[in-house]
Amino acid sequence: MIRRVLVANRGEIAVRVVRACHELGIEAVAVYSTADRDSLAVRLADRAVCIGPPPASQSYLVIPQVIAAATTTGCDAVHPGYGFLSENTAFVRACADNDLVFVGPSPEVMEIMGDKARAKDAMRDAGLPLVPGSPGRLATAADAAPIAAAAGYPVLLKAAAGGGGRGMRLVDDPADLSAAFRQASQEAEAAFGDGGMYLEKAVVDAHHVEIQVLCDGFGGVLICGERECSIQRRHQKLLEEAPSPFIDEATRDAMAAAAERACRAVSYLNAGTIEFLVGADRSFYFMEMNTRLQVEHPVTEAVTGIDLVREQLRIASGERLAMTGRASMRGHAIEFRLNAEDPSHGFRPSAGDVTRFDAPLGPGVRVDTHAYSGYRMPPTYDSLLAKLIVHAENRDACIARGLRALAETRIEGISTTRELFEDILRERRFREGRYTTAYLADAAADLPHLGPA
Amino acid sequence: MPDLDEARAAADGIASSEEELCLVALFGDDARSLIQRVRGRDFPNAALTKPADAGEAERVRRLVEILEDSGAGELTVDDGGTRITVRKQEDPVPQQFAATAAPQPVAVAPPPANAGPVVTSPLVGTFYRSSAPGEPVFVEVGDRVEVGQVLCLIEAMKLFSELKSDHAGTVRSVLAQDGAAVEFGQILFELEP
Repeated sequence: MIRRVLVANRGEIAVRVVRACHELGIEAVAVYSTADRDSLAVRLADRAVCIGPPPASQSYLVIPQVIAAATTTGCDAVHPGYGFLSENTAFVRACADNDLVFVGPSPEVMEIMGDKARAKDAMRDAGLPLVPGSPGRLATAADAAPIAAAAGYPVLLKAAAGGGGRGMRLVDDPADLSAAFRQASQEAEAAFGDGGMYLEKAVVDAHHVEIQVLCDGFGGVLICGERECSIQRRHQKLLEEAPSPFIDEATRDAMAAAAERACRAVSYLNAGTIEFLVGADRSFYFMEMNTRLQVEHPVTEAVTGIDLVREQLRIASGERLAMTGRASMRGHAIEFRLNAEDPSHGFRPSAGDVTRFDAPLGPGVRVDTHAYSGYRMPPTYDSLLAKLIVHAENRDACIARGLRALAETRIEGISTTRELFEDILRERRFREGRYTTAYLADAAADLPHLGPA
Repeated sequence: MPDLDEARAAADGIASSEEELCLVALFGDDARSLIQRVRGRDFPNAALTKPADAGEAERVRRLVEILEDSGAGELTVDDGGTRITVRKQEDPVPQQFAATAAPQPVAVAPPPANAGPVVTSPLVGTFYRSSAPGEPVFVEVGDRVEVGQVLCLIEAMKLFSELKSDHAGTVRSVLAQDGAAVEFGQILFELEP
C-alpha cells in the first residue's frame, strides 16, 4: 500500500485528496504557492511544501519543483487531481523516473487520449461511434472544405491538443470556413503550443453525457454510470446530474458497453471518464476520454456509494477492484459549481475576500471546498470556490433538496453562481429534464440572475 | 503678535499648521524642539504638508514596509527623541508529521534577528553546502561573499543548481543543514552588509 502521497494540486480537489488519503491511513503532503499559504489543504495535510510564487507557471506547473517536493518529503506516490499536471505525460514519466507511483493511467494511454485525433483513431478501432468528420488532423483550411461538405453544416473546428473551448469554432456557412480555421488554429497554437486542427459535424440539440470508469491492473473494469453535463457556459460545465434525465435504459446500456470496450482497447488503468455527445434522437458519439479524476466526480459517488478517490489510491497501490461490471445506482444527485463569478455580468471573475461562508448542512448535502469565512479568493487561479452536491431518492426530491441547500448557503464578499442555480432549479425546462448544451441561451429569459454574456 | 508671513519664514518650514506657527512664534526654540520631537526629524518635507500625527503614522508605515522587505523579525529606530519598534508576528507553522513518520521537517527558518540581506531558496530540493561529499563548503560563517558568488547547491530531480548570492556581504549564519530538504522562499543565508 502507498504510505505517503504528494497532492500535486490546490483548491478544493487538494482538500478532497487529502481527506481520502487520511481515510486510508495514508499521509498527505500538500504543495502550495505563496498565494495559497493559508489554504485549507495546507492546513489539513500532514505536511506542506512551498513550491513557488503565485503564477501556476512558476509553481503548480513546474515539474522539478513538484517532484522535488515529493522526493524530499519521502513520498511514494503522487496524486495529480485535475488540471495542472494531471494530463502531462512528461510529469507522469518524471514520477516514474523518481520512483513515485503516479495515481492515474500510463503515459502511453494518456498520450493517445490527449491527442484528440489519435484518440478518435483508437476509439474507431475499438468500435465506438464517432461524429462524422475529418479522419485525423487537417493540414490546411483547403483540406477542411470537402470534409465539412460531406459531414454537413454546421461543423465544429477543434484543436487537436485542445480542451475547455479554446481553439474551437462553430461554422454555419461554408464561406466562413477558411477564416475560422486560421483563427482557431492560431488560438490553439497560443494556448497549447500546437495549432493542429480537426473538424466534425456539429450535433445540434446535443447533450453532453459522460461515463465514469474505474480500471484495475488485473483487467477489471467497473462502469460507474453516467453524468449529464449539458448545462455549460462557454463549453465549461456549471451543473451536473446523475442519472441523466434524458437518456433511456437502452442508451445507458449501449454507452456503458462502449465505455467498457474503450477501456479494454487501451488497457486503461485507474479512474477515467469517457465523454459522449448525444443527439436529440439519442444517437451517441465518442468525444474524448479524460484520463484523470473530474471536478464532477462527487455526483457519481453519491449515486453509486463508491469513493472514487479512495479507489484511485487503492488501484495505484496495486489492489484489485472489489467489484467489476456495472455499479448499481441509487437515487439522484446534482452538483452545483459555486464559482466566484458574476453570472449577471457575463460570468466575470469575482476574486477577493470571502467575508462570510456558511456552507449548507442537513440530510443529503455535501460540500467540497477549500474556502472558509475570511478566505481570500486569489485572482490567480480558476474560479471554483465550492461544489455543492445534493442527493435524494429521486430527481424531484433532489431538486427540492438543492433549493433548500442553496437557500442555506451564505457567501458574502464576492459574487457567486449561487443565485443562478436557484433560478435554474425553478425553471420549467430544467424541472422537466428537457435541456441541451444550449440551455443557458434557450432559458435566459426565465433566469433572472443571468445577464447578457 | 508678529505678522503671519514673517512668523512662517522664521519657523523655517517646521510648523505645519497655524497652531504650530503660533507655538514657534510665541515660544521660539522650545517650540521647535517640541514639534521636531513629536514628528521625528527624518521627514521634514512631510511635515510641511501633513499634521504631526500623520507624519508619525507615515513614518511607522515606512518602517513596516522596510521590515517586510528585509525578512528581519524586528526593527527599532532610535533618534534620540523618539524610539519606534516594529515587530513581525510569527507565521503559523504548518502541521508537522508525526515524530515516527517523517524525515527532517521543512519548517521555514525563523526570521533572523538583524536587518541584513538574506538569501532565500528559489527551488524545492535538497540543500548542499559543498560541491561533493568531503569537499570544502562553498561558504562558511564569517566569509566575505560577492554578488554572483556560489553559496550552495540545490538538487532537484538529480539536477544540481548553483545558488548565487545576489548581495555582497559577510555570511552571518547558514540556516539550513547540509542534506536538508528546502522549499521555495526558505531563508538559507543571512548576510551582514
